[in-house]
Amino acid sequence: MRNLFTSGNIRNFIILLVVAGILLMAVSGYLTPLFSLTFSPLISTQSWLSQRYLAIRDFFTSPRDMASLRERNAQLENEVSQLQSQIVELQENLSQAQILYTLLDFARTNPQHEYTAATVIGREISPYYQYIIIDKGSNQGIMHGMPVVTQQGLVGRIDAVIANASRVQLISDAESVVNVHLQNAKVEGQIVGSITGEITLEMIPQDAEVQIGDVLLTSGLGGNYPPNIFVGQVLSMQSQQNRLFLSGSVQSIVDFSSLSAVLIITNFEAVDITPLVP
Amino acid sequence: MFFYISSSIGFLIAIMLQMGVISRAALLSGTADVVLLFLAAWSLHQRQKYSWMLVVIFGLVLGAISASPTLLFLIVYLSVFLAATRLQMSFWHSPLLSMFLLVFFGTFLEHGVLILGLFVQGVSINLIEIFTQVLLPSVLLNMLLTIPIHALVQEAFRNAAPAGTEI
Repeated sequence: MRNLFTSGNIRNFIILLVVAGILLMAVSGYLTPLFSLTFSPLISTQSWLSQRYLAIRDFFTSPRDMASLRERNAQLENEVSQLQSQIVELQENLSQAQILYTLLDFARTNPQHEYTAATVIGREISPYYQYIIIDKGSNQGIMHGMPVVTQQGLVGRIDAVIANASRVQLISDAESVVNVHLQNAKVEGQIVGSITGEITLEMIPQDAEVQIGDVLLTSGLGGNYPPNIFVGQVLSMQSQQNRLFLSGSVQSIVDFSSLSAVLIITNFEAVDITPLVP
Repeated sequence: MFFYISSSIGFLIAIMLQMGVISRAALLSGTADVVLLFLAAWSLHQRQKYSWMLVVIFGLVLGAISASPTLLFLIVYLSVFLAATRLQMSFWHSPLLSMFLLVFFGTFLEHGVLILGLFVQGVSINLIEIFTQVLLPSVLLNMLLTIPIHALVQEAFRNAAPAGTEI
């Protein structure tokens, strides 16, 4: 029988045992620090090599990509500018629609009148006159003297008409006089405009109890405006002993400097009482 | 003929700018008058015999558009045109200085005539308020716009005139 414990067999057994031990240690994770220490320089080298390769490849292929990217960029920029112009156009339409919806609301809440909507296309040339130009004229049934309002209240009245445009005298004009009544005090008075566009309340009896913030509505006297249209609020009152009437300043809620759309009351015909004035 | 057509277009653009843009951009209660500025610059550069007719036509157009008495703008613009013609013929050849002079006194004249018109119409006038709230801001705005309008009109004349013509 051959001897199993020869020196060659013992060596092979030891080698087998060592290899098995190393494998067991590797599987169980005891050799990970050793592996990382060993493979780290290799990975770094591999990474460096890969990056250099990619850089060299990009260097040779980039001209073609740059040209296509530039073309794509120009195309996208063009699309962006088109979309931006569309956004601006839509925003303008939206603001116009919002104004028209508000005017429509006003028309619905005041169904006793018939309205024609108009866009403000200009203002008076001279700074001494408070007038606006609108884009509706006699072709749309607009006539001299028709009252003009917004959802916020009275604006003025039609002063001159041509085929497709009209001139509107604002209530803040120096020559404008509107008969009003104070809603709370049950007192009649007049509002008068001025060269600088400020509105004053006049012809209020001395014994009238007018409070700041009182609401002013058109009275309908004189036949120039329909009654009960909102005009503004009393801002302050002044009393002078040697005068027959009180006067005060009025805050209109309508911002005359930024009017963009208005409503014309088309079923109201102003009465010309000039022949009756002595 | 080209001169009259292009000048008419210039006047129309100035009127539309005035009504649509400049009149909305007020300083206190004063506004610039682009039509007056254009007229002053144009009058200083034009050399045509019948150009006064354009002034009459557009003075009447403005009188019809405006709520002010019809002839007021015609009087103001004809006066500015005549003053510009005098300055043009004089030995003092400095268009920009002449323009400043015309705009300054033209604005005062325009406002004076308009105030007179208001007075005749029976509007109560507070002169101090008018001076501080309307006249001075308007003069300031007109003076600020003098150089750009003058440069624009001068450039337009330079481009329209045949080569070698003295502007």
